[in-house]
Amino acid sequence: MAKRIFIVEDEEDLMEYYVEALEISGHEVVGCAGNGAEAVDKFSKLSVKPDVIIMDHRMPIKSGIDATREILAMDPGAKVIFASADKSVENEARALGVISFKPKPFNLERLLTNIDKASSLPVSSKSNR
Amino acid sequence: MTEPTEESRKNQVADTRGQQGGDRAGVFSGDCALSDKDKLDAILRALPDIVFYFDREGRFKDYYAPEPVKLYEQPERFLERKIEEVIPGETGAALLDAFRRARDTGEKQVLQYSLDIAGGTHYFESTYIPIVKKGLPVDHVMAVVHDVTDRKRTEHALRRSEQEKATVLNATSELVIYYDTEMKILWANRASAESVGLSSERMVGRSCYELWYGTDALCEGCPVAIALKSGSDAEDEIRTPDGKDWYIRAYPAKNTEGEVVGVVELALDISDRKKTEAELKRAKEYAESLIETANVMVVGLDENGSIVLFNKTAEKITGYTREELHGKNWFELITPKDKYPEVWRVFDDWRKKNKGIIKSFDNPIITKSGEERYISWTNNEVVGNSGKNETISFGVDITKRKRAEEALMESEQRYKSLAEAAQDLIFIIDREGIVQYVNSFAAEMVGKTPEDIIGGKRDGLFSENVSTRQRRNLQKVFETGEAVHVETITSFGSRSTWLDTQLVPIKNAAGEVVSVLGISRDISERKQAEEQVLRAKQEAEFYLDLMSHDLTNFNQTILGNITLIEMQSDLSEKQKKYIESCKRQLGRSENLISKVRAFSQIKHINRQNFRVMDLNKIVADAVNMVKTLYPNKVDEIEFKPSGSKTARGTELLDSVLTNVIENAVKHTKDEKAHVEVSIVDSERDPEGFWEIRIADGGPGIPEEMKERIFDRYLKIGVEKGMGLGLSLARAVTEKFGGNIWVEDRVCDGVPSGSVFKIAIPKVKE
Repeated sequence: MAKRIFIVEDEEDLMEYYVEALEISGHEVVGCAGNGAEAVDKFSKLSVKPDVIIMDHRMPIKSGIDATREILAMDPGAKVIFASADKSVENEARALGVISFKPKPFNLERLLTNIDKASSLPVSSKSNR
Repeated sequence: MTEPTEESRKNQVADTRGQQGGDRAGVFSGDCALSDKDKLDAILRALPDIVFYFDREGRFKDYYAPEPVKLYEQPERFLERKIEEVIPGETGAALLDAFRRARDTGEKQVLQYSLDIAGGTHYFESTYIPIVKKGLPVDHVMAVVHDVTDRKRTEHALRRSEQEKATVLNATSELVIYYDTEMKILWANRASAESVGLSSERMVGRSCYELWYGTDALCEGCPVAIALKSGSDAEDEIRTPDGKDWYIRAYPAKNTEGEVVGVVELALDISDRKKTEAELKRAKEYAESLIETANVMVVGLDENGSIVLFNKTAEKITGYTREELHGKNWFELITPKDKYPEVWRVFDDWRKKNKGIIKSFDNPIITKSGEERYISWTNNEVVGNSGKNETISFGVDITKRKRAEEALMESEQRYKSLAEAAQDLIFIIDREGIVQYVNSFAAEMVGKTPEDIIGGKRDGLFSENVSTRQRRNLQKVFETGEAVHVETITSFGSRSTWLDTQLVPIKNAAGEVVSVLGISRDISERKQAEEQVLRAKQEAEFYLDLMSHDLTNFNQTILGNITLIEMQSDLSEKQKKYIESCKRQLGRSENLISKVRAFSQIKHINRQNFRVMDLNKIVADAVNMVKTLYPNKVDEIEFKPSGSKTARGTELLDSVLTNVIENAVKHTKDEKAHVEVSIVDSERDPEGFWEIRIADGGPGIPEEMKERIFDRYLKIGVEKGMGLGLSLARAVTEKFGGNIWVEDRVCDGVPSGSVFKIAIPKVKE
């Protein structure tokens, strides 16, 4: 089942991979952002919120942790898959309420599994994520 | 005329007794030509006595008085008067009584009495003689009155003298006894009587050996017997059965012919003296024994310095025997003047009485062997047997102490030199914050000399902040008694210096901290180097982090794009093979990044970062990771999750398990690796630990290598990274409170590979 995905990643090549792989896999990429600030801005302007947000951490201007905090503040039901090469922020990200933490590198299969799992989760409290 | 005295009355009673008159020896024969009257007149003129004639009624009828002055009354006042009318009172009555008895019995009566006449008392002895005519009753009585005043006075004086002597002898505590020639007691004084518990009178007639010894035989060596026999004085000391000691002197009493008529014994109780003498003797022997056995030298010198007393210890220390030294001059022999003039001067000052004796004095002496020894003397002045002043000195050999003190001083000097030469700040501070010592280097740091600082307060040398901090650190040492180590920045003028300071307590014999020794080293350069190292390390970690992060991102992009290529449907077999090769290398790249990152993170592991981890999941992930990394090598990795198995740790446990499982796969020599993974209760502590076992069918690990393989820098065979992986595994498991080790895998009693065991604490409910 196609999901609406919002991708936040500062690496252009990786961003392109995400878009192409997800679209090939049948999902709809509803927006992309190259840093946390842009992500927050674009997310706020989306009239229809995405099913899943794929969020990088280390990005210019605003980090993934800060962006996630603001997005979740705006929309506590937002489902964020935190995808980072920085494992040190895992606890912090989980504490914010992300759906899952994917340490890079991961294969597409796992990402898609996580997207399916995330979108099927009910909108509820952090403890369920 | 006076009443008769008490004594005279006694005499009256004693002496008034009837005597037979008419003694023929006193009667004229009658053949003389003279008449009786003439004869009587002649007799009366020859007598000094007064003669009275009484009629039968007792009237004075006549008298004869050669010395009328001795008459009690004038003749006209007593003639024709009765006795009781002339002499009143008891004397008159006694005279009358004697008169009557003479008259009535016809027997002579004698009466002694006294009368006050001619200004004095006179003693008389009256003899009443009845004058009898044959066949007729007594008609007249004649009284011959003899003046016995002189005799009486002599008797009185003698009696008084004897009484006085008796009083004196009774008053003395010395026993005085007079014996007859048969050694029977004639007289004994009160002290003698008391000593045997009898009265003096009851002692009379008894012998001394009977009374004091209870025997009937003479004592051997008895001074009384000796005096009696020899006629000379004798003396001796004896002890009676009651335990008393006596000093006996016996003096023979002789008559005018020089014959021994008795013996006077004087016995002095010398029990106390004897006891005191015995005690003195004991005390003397004790003192001599003490002196002899004392562990100190005891030396007595007369006022010329000659040796009069010298004990064994003195012999031992000096090497001289007392025979060698007796009478010799101590100073000339033991403390020669050329070497020790001060000792001579001190003794000379005492001898010439310039100064009193110096009670305590330390000086060296020269022993017989020529060795110099130090003696600490305690001196006393005493009066010797000669009556002259002497010295007695007690000396303790302090040579060892002296040498130790000298060595200590030398040592102190050495340490002081060391301290002075040191390029460290060295100081000693007491409880009051007073600087007891500071070396030149430290003094120079504060722009002063040691003399400026020593004895002054520490806190005046530094700023208030620094001083307060120093006081706090010093206080900690004083309170805990333990050393304190601090690294601080201290300002010396305008320059700030890093000081590494060790504060060490200095304790007294009672264990109390009396001061603190501080050694501070300028570590500014080291600190700068450390900061540089720290910065370099931080930079390295930063670059490592940056590199590993970015490399991971690159790998992620490559992996993603490979995935996209794989999704193409028209790939040839060769293309697919190349793609697999790329994926394997990407996996190894990521594995290496993961290990390096893990090592850099070990030091940051602490319990606060721990979270509860599901071991089943972690092990399953690790198994999958290895399967991905070695798709062709892995035949099978058996793992069957079961139950709830949780432990506390961090994500590094993933790396540990991946590494160990990867090793098991890599080191299997067979073409295909078969690995068994399980989680069980620990054999060693089933309640407290899980044990994750990774068993392989490899060649096994030799015994001597079982520990070494966890060495960080060890590599076995051609495979890379094993040492890094296993040392990482041990470091991480230990941080988690667990351990990792390897054992032989044994199947059916045959060694067939290795079992790596990871013990990790269970999460307690």
